[in-house]
Amino acid sequence: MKHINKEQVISTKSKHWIHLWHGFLSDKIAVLSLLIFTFYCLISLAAPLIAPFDVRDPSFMSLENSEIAPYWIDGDSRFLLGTDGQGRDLLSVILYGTRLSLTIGIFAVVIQGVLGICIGLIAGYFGGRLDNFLMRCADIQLSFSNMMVAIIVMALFQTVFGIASYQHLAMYILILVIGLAEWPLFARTVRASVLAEKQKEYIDAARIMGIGSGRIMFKHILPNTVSPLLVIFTIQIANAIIAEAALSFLGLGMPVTQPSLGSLISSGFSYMFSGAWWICVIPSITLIVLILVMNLLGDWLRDHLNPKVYKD
Amino acid sequence: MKHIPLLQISHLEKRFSVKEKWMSQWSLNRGRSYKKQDTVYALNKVTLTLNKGETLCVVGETGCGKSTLARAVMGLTKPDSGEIYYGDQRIDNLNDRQRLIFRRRMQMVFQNPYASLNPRMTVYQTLSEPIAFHNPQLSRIEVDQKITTLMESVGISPNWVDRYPHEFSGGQRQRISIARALSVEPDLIIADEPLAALDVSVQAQVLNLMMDKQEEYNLTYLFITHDLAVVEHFSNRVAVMYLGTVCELSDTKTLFNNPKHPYTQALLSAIPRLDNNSQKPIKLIGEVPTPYEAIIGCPFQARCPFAQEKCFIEAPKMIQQPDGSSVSCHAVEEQRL
Repeated sequence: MKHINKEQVISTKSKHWIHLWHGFLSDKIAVLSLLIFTFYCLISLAAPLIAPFDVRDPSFMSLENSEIAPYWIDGDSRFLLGTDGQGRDLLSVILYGTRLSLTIGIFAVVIQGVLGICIGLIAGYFGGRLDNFLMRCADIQLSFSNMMVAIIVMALFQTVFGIASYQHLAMYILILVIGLAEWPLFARTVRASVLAEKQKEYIDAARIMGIGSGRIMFKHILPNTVSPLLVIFTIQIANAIIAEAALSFLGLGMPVTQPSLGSLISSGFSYMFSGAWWICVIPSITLIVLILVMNLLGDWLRDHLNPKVYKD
Repeated sequence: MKHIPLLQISHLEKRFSVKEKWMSQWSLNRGRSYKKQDTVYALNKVTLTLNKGETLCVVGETGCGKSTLARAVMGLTKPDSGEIYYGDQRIDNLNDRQRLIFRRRMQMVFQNPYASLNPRMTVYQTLSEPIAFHNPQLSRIEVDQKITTLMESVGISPNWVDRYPHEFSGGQRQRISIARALSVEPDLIIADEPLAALDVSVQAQVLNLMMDKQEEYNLTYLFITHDLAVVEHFSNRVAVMYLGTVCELSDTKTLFNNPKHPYTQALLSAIPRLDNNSQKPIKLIGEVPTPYEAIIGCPFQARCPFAQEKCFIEAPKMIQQPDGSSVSCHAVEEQRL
């Protein structure tokens, strides 16, 4: 009996996903975006394996190799994409940089999501004064520019703890700062869906059963607010990567020794007009394609999780 | 049949404030600010007793407080004053934890079967949650068995346990709602217009199911409806509500044969009949007013064809009639009717 149940669960669940999958396959741009995105994920996961040089190796950085143009211009087969101003192989640095940017983006959004979902659920479900208070907090948070908050925090951190410890902790601080800065977006979206779901009778039915508020919020309401959240998740990861890149470009993000895509662009920018355009342009293209792909995926998800198109 | 009171509602009152934003409550009047709050008087001193094993129908127009009454009894909205007793224990002032033992005893079936089941939960999840929650000692296999018998008893094939609500029709969903209510083995079921969203042919099925379950488990129903045909078919006693008050309470037969309150008379005369066309429906003037102020006098005063001066000053009391019904009307009291 139980065995049959399991099979049926899978079949009904998969029906739900098959529908999405068919819609997905018919959209060429979405398929292409997903392919590129998985490619990015794979190369960033496998960066230590596929990178031609080990970035931790002290001999990796040698000034005699600096500013070598990419293979198709210079013909130096050691460096496929050329080298940067410190003589590092650009391909290896970009692989590690993508890995770093994606990690920061994903973890920052996880922090945003956890905070935003909890606050949104509480505000929407309990309502009243608590809701007012939390949403005013969100307004205050939104009224500061995220960039400004991040710049102040990063600058303070650098001066208080010194550059040395900053270099070790930069990634975690970046994740925290970007994560804490943008929770209101999640909180507002969740709250709006909770307000709509709370009116429905199945919530009353659960309350009548005596089920506690926490369980109602997370087991009954949250699954019904998933579709808008998925969309925000993808778009926010892109935004977090941009925010990290912008901070790094301003010199407040990742240190030069552990470059993310943003700090690569930043350091390459000064070589731009001395002829070594590839140091800046190639990481930029990498970043732009990544962001574009994530936004396209987010758009596609939004269109297809729309209840008018896909009804459940 | 001996009447053992199961649920007693006495002088229940509920007010809703219309403007919720505190900023808009303040108004300026000649340079002085004052706080103004619009309230709707949804329930005005409702007194009802529900006996064990009976079906009490509550009828009335939209907005007369039927659903508010149900929600107040279930503890979904907190009444402003008055008392509710279950058996001999007062339940309206309990907190969630104290109320938990009464949650098992009383359950509710909702009006809209399309909204009362969680769209992201399968029937199995919907039914297993209350069973596992209220009987933590049961093993998974016992819970599964219970769900199978429950689904069979409401006429849904147990093979469909892993389907989602959107795969069922309205009538089937309402059966699942009933199964969910029955899953904790309650004594009292409050049904808030459970048939209103259903097709007429399906209404009969669901109604028969509810009657079968009543016999099987000796259930007590508080049945809220505005369908008088259902009332005649289904209930033992009827409470007619108007503007948050009960205006007539009597046995079903007595009510249909001999309605006393002018509102009940108008309500019954509005049932379309095939056999008897001679009786003209009584047309009431105007519409049900929204009670923004506490009513002075009889709530039915504005539309009553028999209203006299006394009706505008003094609220009528529920008075027991010789045939066992209770009516709150000055005209009936003074035998003007």
